[in-house]
Amino acid sequence: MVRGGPRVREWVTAVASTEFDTPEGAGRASLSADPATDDAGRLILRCAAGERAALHTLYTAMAPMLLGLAARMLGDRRLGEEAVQDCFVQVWRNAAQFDPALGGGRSWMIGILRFRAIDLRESERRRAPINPMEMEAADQAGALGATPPPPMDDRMALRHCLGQLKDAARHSIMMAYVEGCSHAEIAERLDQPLGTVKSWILRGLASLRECLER
Amino acid sequence: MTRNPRSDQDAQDPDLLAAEYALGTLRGDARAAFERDLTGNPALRASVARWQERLSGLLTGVEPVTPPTELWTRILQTVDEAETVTPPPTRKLSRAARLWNAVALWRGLSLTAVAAACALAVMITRPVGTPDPSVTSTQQPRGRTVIAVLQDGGRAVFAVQVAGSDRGPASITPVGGESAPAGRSYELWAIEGAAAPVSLGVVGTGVTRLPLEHLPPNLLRPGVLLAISLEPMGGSPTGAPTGPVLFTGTLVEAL
Repeated sequence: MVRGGPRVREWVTAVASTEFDTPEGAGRASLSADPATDDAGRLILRCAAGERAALHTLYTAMAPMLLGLAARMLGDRRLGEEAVQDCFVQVWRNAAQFDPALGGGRSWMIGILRFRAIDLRESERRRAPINPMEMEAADQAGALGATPPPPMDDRMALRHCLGQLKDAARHSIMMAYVEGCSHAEIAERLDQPLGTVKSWILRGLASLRECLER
Repeated sequence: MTRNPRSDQDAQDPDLLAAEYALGTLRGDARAAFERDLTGNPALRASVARWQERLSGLLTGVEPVTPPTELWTRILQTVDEAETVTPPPTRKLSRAARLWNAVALWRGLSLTAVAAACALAVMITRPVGTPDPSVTSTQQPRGRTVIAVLQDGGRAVFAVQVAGSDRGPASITPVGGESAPAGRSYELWAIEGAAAPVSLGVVGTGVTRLPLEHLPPNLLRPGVLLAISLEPMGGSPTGAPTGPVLFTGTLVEAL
């Protein structure tokens, strides 16, 4: 493989090392997701101007959250790290395409990470093990303080609107978003017909929109 | 399941399609088709961004994981490697380049394409008749063979090889049985970073060879995005892409 050799060696080295050091400042830094003070967005614009320090600041603030998500979606920490690495490289390369008028920098980066993780997931054909306890925890949107969270108002609204959904729709949407599951995987896990799951998700999203725009 | 008019209506709603895309449940051909629509549809891109913003609130239950220190080093290395061949990104983009790069942005295709290119590298090396790629790559450091697999949502459609030297010619080998509809042509473009797309020529049926002598030196090198758009018969009348982007892939160095 063109890039496989060195990368595989890195993996082997990384697997051999059991120690995971904290990068400078990680865990302490947090970026506001408020559109009025879109710190992540501003840093992405600085990346677009070729400023490496801005990428590092983004990394320090966002990498732990992105790695948590990627590892969850891929069910594998090494693969999660690969997704995060690819994500930051893409953020750097595509920073000029970030449009602050469309949305915040944080959700833009999460989008990039999730597509990368979904692609890796499909190519690896690995399944993140489903953990009902975790699903419950994830269900209580806003209960845990992950960095960096969206504005409180938005979180409250989302939590409220998620709560209005039927359990089946909420679980399906959470599985798709947090675990990166496809329709077929959700159908398999919940032991339901594919069409039913598709319908739950579509109607769930429609209800969520209706509720959030109210 | 029972079908009702409301479900059918929802299934046709572009904003809910954007929601499914942002959620990640749009896959395969449906995702590829949606991404093609995205490139020329700012309203749809705004829908996706809005849903990404909304759904990001679902992450509050995900525990952060501290990355190992070497992860940042690896990112920096990859960025550095890329910058020896690509200038840093700038905000000055032509409209076409902005739209086109949106494809790469939404899909994250460059890394997917690397894997596909690896798989196909051996296969396409023979038909295009490079004397010996291993010799060219070790003895001609400035004229390495570069290849790209142009894909449509993960399905390889064309393999492109620029053999030995970036002065060409480029060989385009169809691998997916895809050909332009009657009265239209496929046109191949190179998109380097933030620059406007440069036409490499019209892709014919079967293996096509495109002369590249007229191109700027060093244009076709690893990291450059190739894309095929649907154009009027004979190619774009304007010199810039006018039709939808159908297939994309990033050039990588051949083995």
